[in-house]
Amino acid sequence: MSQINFPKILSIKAIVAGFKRLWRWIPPILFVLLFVGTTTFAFQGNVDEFAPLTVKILYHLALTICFLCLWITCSHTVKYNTRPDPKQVFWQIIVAILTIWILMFLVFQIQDGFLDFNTPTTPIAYIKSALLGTLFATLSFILVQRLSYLVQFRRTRRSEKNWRLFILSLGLGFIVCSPFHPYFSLDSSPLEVLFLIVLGLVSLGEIILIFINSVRLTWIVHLSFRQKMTAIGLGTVLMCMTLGTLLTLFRPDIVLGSTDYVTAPPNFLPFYSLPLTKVVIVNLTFGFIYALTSVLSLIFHLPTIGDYQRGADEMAAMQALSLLVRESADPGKLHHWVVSTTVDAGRGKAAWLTVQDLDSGSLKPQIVAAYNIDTSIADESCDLASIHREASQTRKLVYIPNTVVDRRTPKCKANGILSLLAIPLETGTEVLGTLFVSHEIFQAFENDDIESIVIFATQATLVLENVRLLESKIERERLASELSIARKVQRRLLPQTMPQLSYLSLAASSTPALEVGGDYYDLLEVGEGKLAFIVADVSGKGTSAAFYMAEMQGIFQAVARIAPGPSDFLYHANQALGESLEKSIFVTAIYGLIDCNSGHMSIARAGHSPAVLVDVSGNAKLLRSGGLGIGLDRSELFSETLEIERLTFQPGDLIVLYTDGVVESRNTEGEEFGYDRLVESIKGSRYERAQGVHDAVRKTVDQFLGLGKNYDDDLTLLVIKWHGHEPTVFKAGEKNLS
Amino acid sequence: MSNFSVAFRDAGDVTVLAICGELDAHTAPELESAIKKCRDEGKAKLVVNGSDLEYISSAGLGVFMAFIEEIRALDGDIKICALKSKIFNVFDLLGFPLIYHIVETEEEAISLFKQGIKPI
Repeated sequence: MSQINFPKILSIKAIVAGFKRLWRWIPPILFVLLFVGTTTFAFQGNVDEFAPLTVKILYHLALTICFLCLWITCSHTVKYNTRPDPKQVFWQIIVAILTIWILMFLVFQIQDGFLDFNTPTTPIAYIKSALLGTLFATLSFILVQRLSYLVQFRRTRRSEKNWRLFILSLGLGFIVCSPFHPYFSLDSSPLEVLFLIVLGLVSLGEIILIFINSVRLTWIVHLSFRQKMTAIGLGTVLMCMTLGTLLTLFRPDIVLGSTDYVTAPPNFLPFYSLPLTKVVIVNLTFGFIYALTSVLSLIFHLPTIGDYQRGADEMAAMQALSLLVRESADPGKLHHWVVSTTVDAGRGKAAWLTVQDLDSGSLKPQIVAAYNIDTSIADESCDLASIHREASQTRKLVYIPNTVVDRRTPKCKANGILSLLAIPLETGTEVLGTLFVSHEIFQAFENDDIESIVIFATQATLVLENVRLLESKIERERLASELSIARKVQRRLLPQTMPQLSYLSLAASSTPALEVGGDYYDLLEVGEGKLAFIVADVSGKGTSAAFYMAEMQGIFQAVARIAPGPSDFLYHANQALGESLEKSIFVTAIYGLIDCNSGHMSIARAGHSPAVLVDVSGNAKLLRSGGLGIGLDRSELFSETLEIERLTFQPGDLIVLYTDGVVESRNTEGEEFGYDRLVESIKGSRYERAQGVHDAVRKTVDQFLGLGKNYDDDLTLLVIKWHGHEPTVFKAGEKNLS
Repeated sequence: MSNFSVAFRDAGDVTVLAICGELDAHTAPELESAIKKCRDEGKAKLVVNGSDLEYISSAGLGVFMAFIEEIRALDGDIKICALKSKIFNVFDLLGFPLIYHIVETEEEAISLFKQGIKPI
């Protein structure tokens, strides 16, 4: 089903848009109509000095509208979406003038002209002068309209107003000039004299406005040297062209090399329209004067171009700085770049950068980059340390305008350094280094030089600081990734599966407080039905503890197989670790050996938290035999004081080993988990298999600590349950690492 | 904010270090530098008064071990006194009483020096 969408067709927007499109065509169409009309009218000889006043008024009104339409048409052709640059404007004008010149030349070929100043040979002469008049008008309109872009560059309210006044004066001049015949006589009516006076005033205004607008040359400042040279060339060409056009207007006979008024009538334009002649002359004069002031101003600007160039270089340097950071974050390259750019920007002859590297332990600042000077020369020329210190402590620049009289610069003159500037590169919290800039003349740095270098140094500081932050972030990420690798490696050091043994069940877990920790547990079947087990805790936590934990693992895996009992094992462990442990580091351990055939267990405690033994009826006992921590004593004292506990398991007996992370865990109130809670928790779950007991204890600890609280210390738990010589063979508990 | 402090007190040629608060991995360097200072000043007869010590971690215990050899080589000793029972338990588990004199009171510790009783 189709529906005619009336509102869409008749929408106001569409009508307005249609009108706008149509509106653009009105001026050119109107121009053509009026041009043909007026020319035809004049062609028939209706407009001469004897014509009636009303005819004259109507004719000139029609001409006024006609050329207004031409002006609008010309302005339509110069609409830009983006602002053109000066070179473009000049080129467009030059091309337009050349095109119109060719058209003019063709029109001049019409072999009809004037017998004298005021007598056309044939009526065709009207058409010829009308065509020429239009071409001159088009040329002058394009010239002025395009130049307005240059005049209005960086427009201000005032410049806009001046330009509008100039355009207005052109229109006013046209209207005021209309009543005059090309060859009026002064004995005319008083009205004509009055008009003459007004015309004079308007013309004076036009001249003033031409000069006012001709000094609007802001576009010149922003040009580079090359652009300025181009602009000088193009401006000169434009000057010549406007002058040539003016000459053609007044004396086409000279330009065309003809002596004959018929071919090249000098008076064709005033004959066609005196007001138009006036407007064309004003426009061409403006074009000439504007081109002249442009060229002169450009030439006067050339000596100061160096300054602007330096400004531009500095801006370019700043921009390059940010690009450099994206490319490379190498501080060495950046340092070099900072010194080289300082010199290249033209503010100094040589530059170097000192930083105080506290890591190297030297208080003397080191030169990390130098440009246009040897590092050794820069080093020996002045007292770098003292200047660096002064700059970094006061956080102000140090300026030595005359190095001969300054005590800090003893050898500067010998090395051709007569002025020296030192700027601290400070980030607000610290000073990254000091930038030295030197010059080969006395008092080389003016205020603006210093200001410029300081601004540059500030930028450079930001960049250096950013790079440093980026580096430390990369370093942090690298460390984090290495720690996560270390964590994985450490988890591999703990048993991956539990040994499968008759009569007992096992469960264990270990959680480091940080990425890696110093807790260790392990179980190993040594011989027929024999189980060696260990829980150890390296003092401290983190990376250093993790290394000793790994060492402990190696010792266990190697020594447990050959040591006949706990005392031998711990003795060897103390011997082995005693060599490598730092003085302030020790290891506590519990080592035990269970003979599954007999149910006997021997266990020894080297400074470790006592194991908890709970029997089936709920009696608990802490196995607190004597023994020094590993690493506390390197002598025989360790063995002498070590006590071995021996016991025989009864079915249902539980032995729980743990690290102090369990009993010393503190909740948010600062309360310790303690032995009592541990024992109670074991008692409460004593009928469970090892895994059940293990889980119950871990759960109790987690509940005590509260949700989401991290462990303060590494936390390890190992539960062994003796089930006795029952017919069923229990499956071993599963390993549980959290 | 550190919740640990060390106060120095001279009792004849014996220097008493009264430690207060929680001695863990973060605060251990304070006690470390305190003992270092004594060692550098030639004071080797040290009594650590732990009456106000609320907590000690393995890193805290490590401080005593780090210097004991040097101090004893200077003909001095580190004696520990007035520990709360909970803290003493930590020392005891590790076997410290086998290596250090750990006594009830400060006076007792000082008198051990005066009597010229050799370190263990």
